[in-house]
Amino acid sequence: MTAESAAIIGAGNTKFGALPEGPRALVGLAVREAIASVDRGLDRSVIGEGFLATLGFGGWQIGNASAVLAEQAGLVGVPVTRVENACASGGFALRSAVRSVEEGTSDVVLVVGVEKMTDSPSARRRYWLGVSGDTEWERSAGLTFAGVYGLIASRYCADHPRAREALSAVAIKNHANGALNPKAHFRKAIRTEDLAHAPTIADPLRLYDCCPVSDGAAALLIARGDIAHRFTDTPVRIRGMGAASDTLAVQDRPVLTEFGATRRSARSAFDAAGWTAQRIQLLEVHDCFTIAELLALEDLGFAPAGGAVPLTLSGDTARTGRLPVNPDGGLKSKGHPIGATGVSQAYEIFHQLRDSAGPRQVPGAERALSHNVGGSGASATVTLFERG
Amino acid sequence: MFPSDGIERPVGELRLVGPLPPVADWGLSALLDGNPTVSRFASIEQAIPVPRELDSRPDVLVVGFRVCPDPLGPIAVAVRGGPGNAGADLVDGLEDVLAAKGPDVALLELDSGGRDRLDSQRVDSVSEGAYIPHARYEESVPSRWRFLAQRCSACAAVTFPMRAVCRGCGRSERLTTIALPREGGTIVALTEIGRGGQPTEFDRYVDAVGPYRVGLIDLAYGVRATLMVSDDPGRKLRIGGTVRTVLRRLYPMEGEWRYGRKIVPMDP
Repeated sequence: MTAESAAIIGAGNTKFGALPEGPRALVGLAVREAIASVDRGLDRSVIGEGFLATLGFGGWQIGNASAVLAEQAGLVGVPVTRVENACASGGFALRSAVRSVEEGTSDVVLVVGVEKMTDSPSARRRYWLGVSGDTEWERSAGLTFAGVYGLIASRYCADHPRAREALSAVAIKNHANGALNPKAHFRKAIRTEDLAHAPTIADPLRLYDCCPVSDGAAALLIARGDIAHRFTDTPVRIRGMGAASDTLAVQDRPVLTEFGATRRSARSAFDAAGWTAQRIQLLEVHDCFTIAELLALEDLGFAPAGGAVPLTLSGDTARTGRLPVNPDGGLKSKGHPIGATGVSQAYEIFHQLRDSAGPRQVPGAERALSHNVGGSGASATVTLFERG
Repeated sequence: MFPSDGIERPVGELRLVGPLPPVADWGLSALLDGNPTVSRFASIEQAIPVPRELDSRPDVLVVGFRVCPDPLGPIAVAVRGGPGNAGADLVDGLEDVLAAKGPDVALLELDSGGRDRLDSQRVDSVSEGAYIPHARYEESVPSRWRFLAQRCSACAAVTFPMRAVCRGCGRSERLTTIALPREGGTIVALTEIGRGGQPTEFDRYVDAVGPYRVGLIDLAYGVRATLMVSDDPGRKLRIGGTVRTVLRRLYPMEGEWRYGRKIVPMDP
């Protein structure tokens, strides 16, 4: 992709957490912040299309949810589409928006991700947390997502020494980052002792290895690259995108500790940009469970198999390290409102590459990568960004 | 007992406590005679390995019955509880199996206390489970119960569970049905689901039995399966260990028990 392809000109993000607002209000909040963030202002009439990423957790508006986006954004009349690929819905919605402006049918496209998760009763919540894996075979063996990632982590820990230590290091690092993020669900640093005494969720994963159930929304305004400077002097360019699929059930994959969809997405994205992994200075990766961050580092090409353990234990992935990973706290600490996550990753990168990330700013980053995974790896997107 | 190659091998040992009652007394004949899918009821010829929980109970008897001569054919397994509920337990188990077309095996699990607690609740009262209608469950029974899979003669890949297309090459016209081995699998990964982390349809299982483990096993021909662990109260199974599989109750849905295979230690 060229620098002229597409760029982010505005972004918004509600606080993540257990919030009083419902999904409609959350969409409205994120959209208003995104529009207000456009430096030279934006007349809504230039928005030619909208995409809404949501799983519809709890059963909220499974059909035609995108009409809610049109209403809340003042866009009734323009085409809007709901995009659903479980936890990767946001990444795929961003991809749809970029393709829409590349096609030339719209000058500016609005992407919103939303999920309202905390107002469902416990049983309903557990039901919805298990709808995006293989519901016929994995689920009938007694697994939800935590269980599938627990299986993956058990194998990873059996294969690589000190892996359990590295899982804890991921949690501690991401909580430390989240403590600096006013929009994070958890703004609390944790210690090794906290982790060790936490209850088991899916062995070897304990409570602090798992992301929370959160409410929240995020919004992006994507403009045609050649007109981005009409709206801001500092757009964030989208330089490469990759998206891929894998089998629904992990039992159908030859290697349990690799996500083929991530690997294929990364290859496509790097090919599109003409970049190698060495050019990336900041990563937003999909750490729904701590094991997922280790897998991501390997699948994205930043470490060989097992290499994410020393990379993490060395402190390289800390916010102040050589390769900062999840400076916003990641899903682990910022929270994981399913449809919002992939959009929110780009929100963080938008601010990091414009030096507006506040106390969690990574100084001088020019190029960043976001990585969004659906479920236990059945879908994934990788997006590459550069200061504009 | 679960031959993949047509050769019968006895597995485990039947523990008889006292004399085996005449078949008629178990209420089997009436049940089986009236069911057209059971062509020949041979005799009590096959024992099944006795679950540990039952093994230690002198008042519980577990018996396997082969009900047709096909080595891959149906096997009915009955658990008889203490003197108080002799016939009832047996009929309960077989009804579940025979109610679903294409009976294979049913084995009632858990200690009798836990099973009584499960049975005392209505099976259709579960809500918030991933909805799998009876028809789709029934469609999965050959793979779920008998480990039937498809071999593709175009690319040699083996697809499990059975589906419309080969998972190796995506073709559908050159698939033949084979049976995967039901024992000798190797554990690739193993997790224990913490209390409260189970899908809602397993809530009553956890209430009755406690937290369970789930393993991913290598079966054969590159096929892997994700299955719940049973009969390993000492938590002796480890990654790399060898297992066999047995047919067990999974969870209740739509007023029926759903059955599928579970992993148990190779040596009971």
